Amino acid sequence: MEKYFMGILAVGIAITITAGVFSAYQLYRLVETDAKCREIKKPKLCGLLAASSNNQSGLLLYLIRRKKYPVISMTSAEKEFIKRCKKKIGVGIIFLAIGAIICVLGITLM
Amino acid sequence: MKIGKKLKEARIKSKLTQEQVAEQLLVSRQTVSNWENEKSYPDIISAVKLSDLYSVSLDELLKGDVKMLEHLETSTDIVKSNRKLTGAIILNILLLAFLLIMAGFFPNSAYMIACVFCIAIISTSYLLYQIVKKI
Repeated sequence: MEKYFMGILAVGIAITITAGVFSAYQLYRLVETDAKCREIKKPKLCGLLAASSNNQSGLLLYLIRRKKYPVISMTSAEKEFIKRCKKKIGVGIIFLAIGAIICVLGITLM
Repeated sequence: MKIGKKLKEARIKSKLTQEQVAEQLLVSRQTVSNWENEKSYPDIISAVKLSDLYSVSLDELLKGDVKMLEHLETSTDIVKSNRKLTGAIILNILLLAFLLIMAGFFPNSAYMIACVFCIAIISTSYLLYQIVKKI
């Protein structure tokens, strides 16, 4: 029985890691595109910092920083891309939550 | 008439090149070209500067172009999105506080603690999504 619950835990961890990496990558691309549209220097670095922070402090700092930089130019293709990225991040967050809940249940039942 | 066409005509009338306009507005020439070809729309600050530069009234530039007005509406209506985010943050804090108090009443119940964790995960995920939507 314990092996069964360990299996559940392993599945939960796998889902959490996959969803986490996927969401982080989409967030990196989203922030990079947003920074480019606002002509903020080093957009790739902004994306990296926003996506890599553990407690989303990087993302919050980016949101505070970009207040000084209004959108200069955003093509409709970029707008669509940003919209799609947000949806993908939403899906990633859902799977992240599901994976985390499975992990919690696996630990509780063991 | 669409704003792109209006901007182009106004620029030609003012005898300015795209480079000169870009220099005045502190944007790239490609940006000015995108505005004139309607690949993107200027923000409200740039629209005001363009109306000053071309000596054209702002309502003449903006009126009649529904897409431009929609773009301005979504880009300036931050009050609505701020309210949602603030609500999500407050809800998250209150929920976590409530759950911690509830968990305190059942310290030996693993299922109660698991339930607390699960609800905390869901509420934090919702908050995270609201923050991402702000981008």
